[in-house]
Amino acid sequence: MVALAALTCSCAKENIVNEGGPKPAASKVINTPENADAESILIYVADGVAGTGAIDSIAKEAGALACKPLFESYPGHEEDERRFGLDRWYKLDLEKGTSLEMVATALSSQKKIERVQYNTRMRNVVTRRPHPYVSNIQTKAVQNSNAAFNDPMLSKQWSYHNTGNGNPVWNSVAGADVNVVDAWKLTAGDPSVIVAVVDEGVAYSHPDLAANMWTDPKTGKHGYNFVTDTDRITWTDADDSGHGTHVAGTIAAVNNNGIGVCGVAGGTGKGDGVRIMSCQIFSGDKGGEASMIAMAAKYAADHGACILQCSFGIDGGEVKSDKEYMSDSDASAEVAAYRYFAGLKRDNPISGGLVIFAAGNEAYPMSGYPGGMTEFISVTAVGCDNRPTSYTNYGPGCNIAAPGGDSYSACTTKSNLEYATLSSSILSTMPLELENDYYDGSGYDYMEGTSMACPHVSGVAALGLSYMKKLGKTCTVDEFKSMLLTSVDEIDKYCTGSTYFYNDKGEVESVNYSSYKGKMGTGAVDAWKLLMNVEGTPCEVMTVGDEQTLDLGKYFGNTYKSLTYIGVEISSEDLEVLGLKSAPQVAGGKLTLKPVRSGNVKITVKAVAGGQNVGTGSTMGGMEISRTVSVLARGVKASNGGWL
Amino acid sequence: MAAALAVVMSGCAKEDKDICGEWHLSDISVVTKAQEPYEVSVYLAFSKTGGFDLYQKLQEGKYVHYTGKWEMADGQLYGYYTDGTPWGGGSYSVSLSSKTLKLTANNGLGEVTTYKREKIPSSVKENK
Repeated sequence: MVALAALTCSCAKENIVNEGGPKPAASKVINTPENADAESILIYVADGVAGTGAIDSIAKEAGALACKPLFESYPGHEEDERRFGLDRWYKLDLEKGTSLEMVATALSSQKKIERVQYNTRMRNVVTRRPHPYVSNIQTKAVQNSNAAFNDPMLSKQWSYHNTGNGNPVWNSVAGADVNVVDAWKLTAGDPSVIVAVVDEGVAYSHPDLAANMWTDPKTGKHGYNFVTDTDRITWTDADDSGHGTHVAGTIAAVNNNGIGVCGVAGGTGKGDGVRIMSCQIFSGDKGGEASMIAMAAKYAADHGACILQCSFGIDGGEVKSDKEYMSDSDASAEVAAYRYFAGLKRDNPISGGLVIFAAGNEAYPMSGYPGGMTEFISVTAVGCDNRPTSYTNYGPGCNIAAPGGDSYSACTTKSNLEYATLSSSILSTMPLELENDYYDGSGYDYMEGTSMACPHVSGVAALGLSYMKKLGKTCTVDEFKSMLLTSVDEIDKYCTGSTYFYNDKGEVESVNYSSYKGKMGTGAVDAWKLLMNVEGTPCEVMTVGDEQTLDLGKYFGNTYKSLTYIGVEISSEDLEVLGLKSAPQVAGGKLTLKPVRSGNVKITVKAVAGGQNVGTGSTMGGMEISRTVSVLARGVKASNGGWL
Repeated sequence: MAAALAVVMSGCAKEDKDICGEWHLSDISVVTKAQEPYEVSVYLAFSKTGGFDLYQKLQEGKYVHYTGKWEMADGQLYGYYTDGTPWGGGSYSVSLSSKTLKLTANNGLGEVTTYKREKIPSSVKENK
């Protein structure tokens, strides 16, 4: 209905303009003015126009107060900026009260402008406000020889190590976590791995974060405030929620420092955690414009971040395809910046970057955007019972799940709503200085949402990159995404029953999970499995002359049987090596082949991460992933498996 | 003391020309692409008393330990595992230098595996 109204409005406007104004080129306008900043608009100029005086004329004609390049050029990155078209984006500041649609129409009639973008505002993805934890949280270290680290609240962080046994709630499932405790024995982080938290400002002076904050060697600052366009990061502005600080703590709260919580990649207390870069795009209820997000993504790439942690977006269902998100044109300003972040060659194990989004909290059967875009990772949320949370989006566009917490996890019937508890949400850092009705200022608090699931995936990815660094390994961004999305535990079998909860009006509602099966992504992220994937999978030894089936579980994770496989690739040279006439077949998660000759070959198996179809642009879908199997076919076979 | 010394001297002397000792897989003839990592690791230890230890890391991702018996006759190496399983290659033709051992399977497919003399790390023996 909203879309219809917008369409009607658009037609009416077009008619008016056609009577006397410049002829518009509606296809150049790539989005709608709904929820857009009223005092700015973005343009993408034609090739050869950037940097010329023509821009000023265009801006003046459109009545703009000011016009400047959207992106600041970074020394040494000019070629990549041009490659991704970032040099062609401009931001026009408009007078308050200006009709955005009139301006967009006027701009789109200019031959020297290829795209016009309303400066849409995104929202933080958070379901519920932070809750004060009034129980006996310990804030100082205690002796616990069983704990991985001495952080006193680690025992409350079920999302790292869930033992079940009624903790935190009666139906908790052992292993419903990111399985990070064993992974910490291999690596707990690396200070050269930088995660950009694109969110509210991170409280960089927090005692449990300070040591793991990234610092710009040139300015001594810990990031940038894109809301105020200054390097003064804030976290106590009116209506600030602590969201960015909470997200940052999950990724890299300092481990083993005797206080507070742990972060997934927070190091061992020896200055070896990954680093958090605060890219502030929200300041209370201000900010979130596409222009700020775009600038934040570019800043993060230019300054060495390799993960872009994005717990914000457009609600599920508001946009239903990549093309709808970007119109039919190539890219919006922020998507161009995300692609720049992913594709800018830089010194890290993947020579590029990962862009990770929260799927959204509307319990809608498709991901929110931009996470729903085929090329970016969208994270759904599970509870301590390994079931989907009552709020998580699911379905097309969703790629992987992680703990997001749900205070209603224990409420499997209407009668046990009394078991609702904050302790089944996610505990992390909060700004000490923040004051509101929901938070006690202790520096730690519970939140829940796909916003909290997303940093678990970012943290696990950061651990994986840290381990690659330690082992001296490298791979492509796509190869790493495939490893990450196949380092999972099965959750489909937990997609049963219902959760009851109180909605915003205080009414009891319920959500049934049977329809969530196969729609939460590839499974729940598992840090240990990612590190094992980083180490590499050993060669599969097969025997010449025998038909053999290879179980793909070790390549595609626990959910391999239910994945949709979309192809097998083997070079013609390798086909010849093994004497095969065609590529091997995959069915039911098993690769079958019968080598005729001895040899060593590589076979690449492709699958869909999230759903049964890869997104096409017109329809939402999963991400294509691939794993490569190394096969050694031998002419020697002992029946007990021995080498000789 | 004298007896022990004699044994040690005898072992050292024979090691240069004998199959006895510890070996690490370095090449497999079936691999057609130079410099490709095999992603497999195999250690062999032949004892003078006719026993062997085999530590292999293949698709299991960890070292698996096999034991058995061996004997050499007319330049051919024969053997079987402790569980009675015969070697998959049947017998092997042996080509030996002081630092290299080449085994060619006599099962008609002619797979040649090359091993270099190398002490088996304790971590391998401890299955780490």
